[in-house]
Amino acid sequence: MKNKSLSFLLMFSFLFSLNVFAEVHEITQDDDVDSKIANAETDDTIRFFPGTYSVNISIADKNLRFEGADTKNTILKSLDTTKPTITINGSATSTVIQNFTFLESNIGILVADTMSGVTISNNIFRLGENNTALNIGEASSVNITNNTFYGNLINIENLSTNIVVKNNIFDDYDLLFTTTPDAVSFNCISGNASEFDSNNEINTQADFVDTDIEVNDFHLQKDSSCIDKGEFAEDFDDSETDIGAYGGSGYDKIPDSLIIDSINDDVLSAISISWSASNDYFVAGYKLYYDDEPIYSESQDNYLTINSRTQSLKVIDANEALTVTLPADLVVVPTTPVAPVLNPITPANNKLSLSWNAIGNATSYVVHYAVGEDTPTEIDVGNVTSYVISGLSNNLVYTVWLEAKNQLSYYFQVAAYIDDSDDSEDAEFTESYFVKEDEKLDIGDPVISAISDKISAQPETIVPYPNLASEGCFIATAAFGYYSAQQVQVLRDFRDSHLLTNDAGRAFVGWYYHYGPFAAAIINEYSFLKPITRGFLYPLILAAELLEKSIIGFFLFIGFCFMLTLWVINAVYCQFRRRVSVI
Amino acid sequence: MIRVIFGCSLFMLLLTPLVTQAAQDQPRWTLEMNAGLFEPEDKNWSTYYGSERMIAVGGSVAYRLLYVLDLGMSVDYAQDRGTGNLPISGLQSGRVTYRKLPVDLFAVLRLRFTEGQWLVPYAGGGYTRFAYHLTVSGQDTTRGSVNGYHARAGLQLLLDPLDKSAAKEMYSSFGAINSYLYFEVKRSRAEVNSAISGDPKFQMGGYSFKSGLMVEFR
Repeated sequence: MKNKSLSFLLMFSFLFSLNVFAEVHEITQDDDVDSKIANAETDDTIRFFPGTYSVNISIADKNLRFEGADTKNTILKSLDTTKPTITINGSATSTVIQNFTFLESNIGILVADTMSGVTISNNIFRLGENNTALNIGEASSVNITNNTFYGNLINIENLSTNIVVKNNIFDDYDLLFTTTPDAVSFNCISGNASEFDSNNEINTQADFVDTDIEVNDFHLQKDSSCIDKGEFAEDFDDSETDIGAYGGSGYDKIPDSLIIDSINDDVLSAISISWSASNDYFVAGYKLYYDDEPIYSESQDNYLTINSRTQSLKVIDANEALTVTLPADLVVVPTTPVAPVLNPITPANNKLSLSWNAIGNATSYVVHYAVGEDTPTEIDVGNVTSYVISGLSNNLVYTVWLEAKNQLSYYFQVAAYIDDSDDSEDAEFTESYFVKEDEKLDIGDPVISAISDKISAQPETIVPYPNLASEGCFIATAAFGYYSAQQVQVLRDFRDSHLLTNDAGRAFVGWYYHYGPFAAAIINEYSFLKPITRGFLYPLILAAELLEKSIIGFFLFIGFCFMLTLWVINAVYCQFRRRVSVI
Repeated sequence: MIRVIFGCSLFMLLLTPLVTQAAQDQPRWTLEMNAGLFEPEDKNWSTYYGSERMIAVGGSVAYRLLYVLDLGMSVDYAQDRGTGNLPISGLQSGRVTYRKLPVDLFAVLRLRFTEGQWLVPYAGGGYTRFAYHLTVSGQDTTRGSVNGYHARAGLQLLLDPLDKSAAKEMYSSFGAINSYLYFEVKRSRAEVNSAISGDPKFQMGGYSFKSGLMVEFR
């Protein structure tokens, strides 16, 4: 009994020493990174799903493993660019940072003095031409393997020489190191770095898949000089380790996303989809995903296993082919939807609000409306069950009806995959992510339902309760006779949109509110002034209306008024001179 | 209106003996903050706004001209949200926001016999300028103001004896001599023209039921 207890205790201690209780904390862009890190225990893994994270992470009190799900698409930027994106200090020895792309920061990773056992691998550092990728403090030991450094001022700014620098690509930099580390070997170094030639360095430029560096795709092309030239573990293709962020055992195994080049639907029974080959030489084949529902959603960027992707979608493994023909038994004839039922219409100011019941197989609805026998206006409002027709004229009666439409469509995505030889249900995700927009193909013509009942309704001005008299536009109200005249409304709109939005305009409105009522009283008293006032107001009303509807028209009108004024002044002046000369 | 002013004047005359009790160091200034309900004097209000009352907040400053007579100014604010009318369809529709900001100039008689009196009834009234603002979502805004008048009556309860240490603290920190809790009923009247000429005028006034804190300073 005593021996059993002792054995159990020993086993528990052994397991504990192996840290079998270490957890993986998953982080998406919506999460609070700092609180996730604060809640993690020592030796836990912090796994970042693809996305751009603006952070200043400081690790001081525990060992953590930071892991990006996809090197290219898991981007770390500095929130405060004067601070490092990640700072490792205190007792955070044995910290691992792997599979990230570091952008836009003065310093990518700062390792403080006297830190030991820090590993930085399979990352891309493209901090910028004025910035430093890594800053290693005094007496620290750091393992820097299989990273790609591109376009930095200083790749490694180090006070310590106890640094292992292996299997890295250094390209387009000003300074490789500030102090030469003790162990520099098997790196691809562009530029004049011949002093490292004796250490199996390759003094050459790496050939990346995408020549557009802004894309941050630093996969290697098939004929790159940096392939199979590294040291340490084999790649998962059983060859020698490649140099750079996509070599060694920590490679994220996720190829870059692909887009579909063309869809040939000339023959509905033999629709074919084509794409271009990936330049990534690890890519073993391609899969075509398709469905009659949209495929892409943001949550799909967080797949963990191949199984979680395939369980809801139709898939064809194209192997190495770049074209796939869809199965001949594909459904190509949509079913006709039943007619929707239009609910009573709610009128509003220049609007009619519609709602109707959802029809199961409808992909969208078409709203029709017309005044009397006029040609109806048609609007495809999408797959919704309510819609507001706006821009209508108040006090006209509109007849409204509705049709349901079923347009059969297929959605496509293509994914490249690498051959991981693990086909278990929870196999690691080794396919490219979907692009954010599906390729869509409408099959044949849509089928339309019978029309709904026709309902007539009339948009109206909403009259508030209580319907109070308003101050403002006194002169215009007096000149046009009533407050709700269209011309007065135009001036009120001009006041609200262009005068009450700035200090000068508000000052003018204040002045007008003070003196306007007196002028309005005079106009009301002497009715012969009304047409004269209207004559003066019409140009202003026209200018205000043009300003709302056509800025070009507004300036043309102002120009016309200016020219007219000049012409009148000139005519008066000429008359005056003629009379003076006669005298 | 004339009758109200005449009544107030008569009441003041009756209370003239109290004026003589005014002490030299009596508090002169009064600040009030209050909140409560305003009930428009309009039977259709709840049809459009859902409730017969709306929340109102306000404040005032007054000067003690005589021992029993304060003159002051108060500002209230009340807001309600409801719907409007579609006159042709006969439907209620849209979103309407009604805001009202009456500014009062008032005289108040306070039945104050001693400075430390626990309960002080008061009554008064005065002129009101009602400013109003009526917004229909997506449409034009109606704004304006109109003259009116009001009468108020209430009861103020001296708080200082209930918590003497707090009263001392109020005095040392803010110079507040007396603090009161008060309850007040106010009736206001003002008629506004309708936007449609010939329609009956709208009675903007109504009853306010408010409670607040009143602080007196020297």
